[in-house]
Amino acid sequence: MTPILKASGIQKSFPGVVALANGELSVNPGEVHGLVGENGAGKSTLVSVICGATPPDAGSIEYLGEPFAPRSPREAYNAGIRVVFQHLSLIPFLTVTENLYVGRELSGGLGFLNRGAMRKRVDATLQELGFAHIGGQDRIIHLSTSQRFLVEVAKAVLYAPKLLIMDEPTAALNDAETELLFSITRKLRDEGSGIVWITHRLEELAQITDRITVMRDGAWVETVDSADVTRDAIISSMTGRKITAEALPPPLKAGAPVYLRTSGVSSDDGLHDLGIEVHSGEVVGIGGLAGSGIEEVGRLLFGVTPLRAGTVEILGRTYRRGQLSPGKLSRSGVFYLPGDRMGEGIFDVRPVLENTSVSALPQLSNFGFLRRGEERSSVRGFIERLGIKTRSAGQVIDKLSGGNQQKVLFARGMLTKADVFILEEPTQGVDVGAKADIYKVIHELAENGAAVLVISTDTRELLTICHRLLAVHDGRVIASFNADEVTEDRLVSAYFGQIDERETA
Amino acid sequence: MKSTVGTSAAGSSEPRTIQGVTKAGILVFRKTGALLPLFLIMLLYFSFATEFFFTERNFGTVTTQAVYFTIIVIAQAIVMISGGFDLSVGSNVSLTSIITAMVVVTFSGPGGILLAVALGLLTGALVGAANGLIIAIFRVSPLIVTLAMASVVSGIALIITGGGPIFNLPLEFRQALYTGSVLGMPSPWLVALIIIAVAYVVLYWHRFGRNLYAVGGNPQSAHIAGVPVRWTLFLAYTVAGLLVGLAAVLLTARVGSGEPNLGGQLALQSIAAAVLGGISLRGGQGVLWGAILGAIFLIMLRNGLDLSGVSSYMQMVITGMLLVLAVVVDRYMNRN
Ligand SMILES: Nc1ncnc2c1ncn2[C@@H]1O[C@H](COP(=O)(O)OP(=O)(O)OP(=O)(O)O)[C@@H](O)[C@H]1O
Ligand SMILES: [Mg+2]
Repeated sequence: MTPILKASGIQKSFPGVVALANGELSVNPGEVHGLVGENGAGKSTLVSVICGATPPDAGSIEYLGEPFAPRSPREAYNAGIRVVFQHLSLIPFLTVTENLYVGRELSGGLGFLNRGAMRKRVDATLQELGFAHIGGQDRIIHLSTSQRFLVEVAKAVLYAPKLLIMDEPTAALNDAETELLFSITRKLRDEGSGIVWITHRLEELAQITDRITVMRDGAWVETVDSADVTRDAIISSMTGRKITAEALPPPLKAGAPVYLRTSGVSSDDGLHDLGIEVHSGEVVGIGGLAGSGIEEVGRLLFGVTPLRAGTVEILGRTYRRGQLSPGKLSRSGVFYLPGDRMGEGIFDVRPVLENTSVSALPQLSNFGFLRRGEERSSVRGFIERLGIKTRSAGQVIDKLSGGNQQKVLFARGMLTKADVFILEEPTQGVDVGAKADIYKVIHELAENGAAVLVISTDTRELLTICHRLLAVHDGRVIASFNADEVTEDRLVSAYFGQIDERETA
Repeated sequence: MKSTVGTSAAGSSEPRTIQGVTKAGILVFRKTGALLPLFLIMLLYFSFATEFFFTERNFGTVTTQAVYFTIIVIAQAIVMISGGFDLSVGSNVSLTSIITAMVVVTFSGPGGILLAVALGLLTGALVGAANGLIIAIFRVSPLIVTLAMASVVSGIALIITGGGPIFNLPLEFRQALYTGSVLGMPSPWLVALIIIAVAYVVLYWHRFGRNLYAVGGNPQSAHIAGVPVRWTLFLAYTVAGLLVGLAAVLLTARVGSGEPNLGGQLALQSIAAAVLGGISLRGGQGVLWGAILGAIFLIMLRNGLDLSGVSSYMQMVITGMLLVLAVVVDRYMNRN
């Protein structure tokens, strides 16, 4: 059988970095091919070469049995290659339909847009894919991060792709959405498309992939049949070491004060009567389905979106409607890690150093004058501690791989020495090893007396790192569990609204 | 993590020095795009085309001209780093010039001069603050706000004077701020050096500078990281206005009259200089010395063209084309 795609010996260097030393990837028709490797291993760069966005320094690609050297993404697109990028590429102020057709609008004889046809096609596609909660006329800015990702998927599969590459498609998705994406993927596979599936959630490999290619430091390590390998084997060929993802939160201290408490909190967008309590030294997780309102909790508590009713008590101070603001909360010892890394997290044109220290500048200055030496050395400390792959602290953050950018955001929080942490998807896009490091750091924070609230779509993550879990259903906290007394199934059924009497929050 | 310190170490040997120079050259190129080659071409051309260009006297003339413009370009760079720009700098110069001249004509003596300077600076700062307030509170486009402000401020300047200049400024005013010198250095040069030093400290050693770059880099990220976005924007425009006011006071002393048209093409020229110097129109990018280099470049170019007998109308054409070139290079250098 001729593979759909066969890339071999791909090399690509950027100033001071070898991103790809020997990229290899071969994808058969009717196959889901997993592509894994640590943060900065070169996965996204390889995708970028295949889809014509980055010219390689060396190497060759065969596509459908023919030599293939796309000079632009458009050329690759026209050849039937679709990519769902790690970073969202939608235009925020346009509607879903407009985004799906951007650059390739349907038009009638005189060049007038055929809006009706486009709308119909998009609605049909959304329906068929099972994205009932997304409308063709919704504007992108009104969608949540996970919905935006699904729109990217819809855009990629609008016209049956021959080769579909998805770069960490599930990073921002919850379990139900992931399941949905699995079924879409399987359907495409059964229709004969080749699919590349990049992920850091290794448990997905067994569920969806047929073969797996492992990369390390820009080079191909091995390609194996998924049926023949264990998760541990994959990890050790990815990293060259053994990683224990097990992490137990530190024991709770009796009588610790409550640092964060909400009562009767409601928002304009569907959170009702939210009651959360986090003590000093405690890690509390919040989970729920897409649309349940969990995407909004962090923004609401941090004053990014307005409170409609209720009170929020943080570190002994009480805030009501109109009183919460990011500036005020940062100054009083609260740190919020946003879920939308590109839009609300990083400063893409600024160096790693400034991206890391931005929230801690008040502590790092006297009368506004920076202690730059101290700033530099503490940032370097975190670069080392979290294994952030960057040429130097002065490197523009845009040049880092997705997972490494995420680690920078996490380091930003650490540097603030805040007392309350609100972490939204803290490990999205982060590899297994770094995940374990981040879990360890979260537990250290708690041990040192911080209150940590983790909002995550990754149930396993919540079960691993939290003391207590809150399940949100339909805008309310409907159940509260101790992490050591609950199973994943139990938690997920609470997400769906099914609870026992005694679990009621 | 390997440290990259060491190339600039003292007492370095020959190859090290060369390496250092090459490295510095690469850095200049990366930060300021096409400016360096343009600079070299210009210097070469004028040194052949005109006799007078490379003389000590001309150096003095150019430096003095550069002083005022550099201060204004620094002001422009500050607001551009915050993600906007200021089209009202020229009008602000005109209004400040009028106010300063009126005060200094009305009140004689050293006290009058001090008062005139103070009110001149205040005028500049107030115009900037008005820009800043509207942009920060309503988060509206700096393009429209500062363009409208330019019209308002020019109008006020013309109303006050009825269109004509204000003459008969006292000689002491001119002496203090133009012909005078401190420690052998002409006073405008000294002022400019102080401004550059302060701007450097504020941009790179003070929180305000970091916040400025953060706001320009991504305002939403800045807001969420706890940066006071509105306050930073307000300060940026106010400080810029203050600097423009300062340049206007110095310029008034130089031309010896209050001129309602003193600002002329400054808005466009200062943006051109800043962009040439690597200050990106998209905000959050560019360094102080790039802006200064851009300013010096435009002044030298004008001087050289003057010496070669190129008309001022032709010079407008050239400045405009350079701005377009600079914007294109900016886009190309920073595209993803
Ligand atoms: N434009 C660029 N300039 C400089 N370095 C780059 C550039 N693009 C990528 N790199 C570097 O190349 C390496 C590989 O990056 P890549 O994004 O391919 O990693 P990845 O495997 O996708 O990682 P992740 O899992 O974090 O997404 C990284 O070290 C990154 O810093
Ligand atoms: Mg990647």
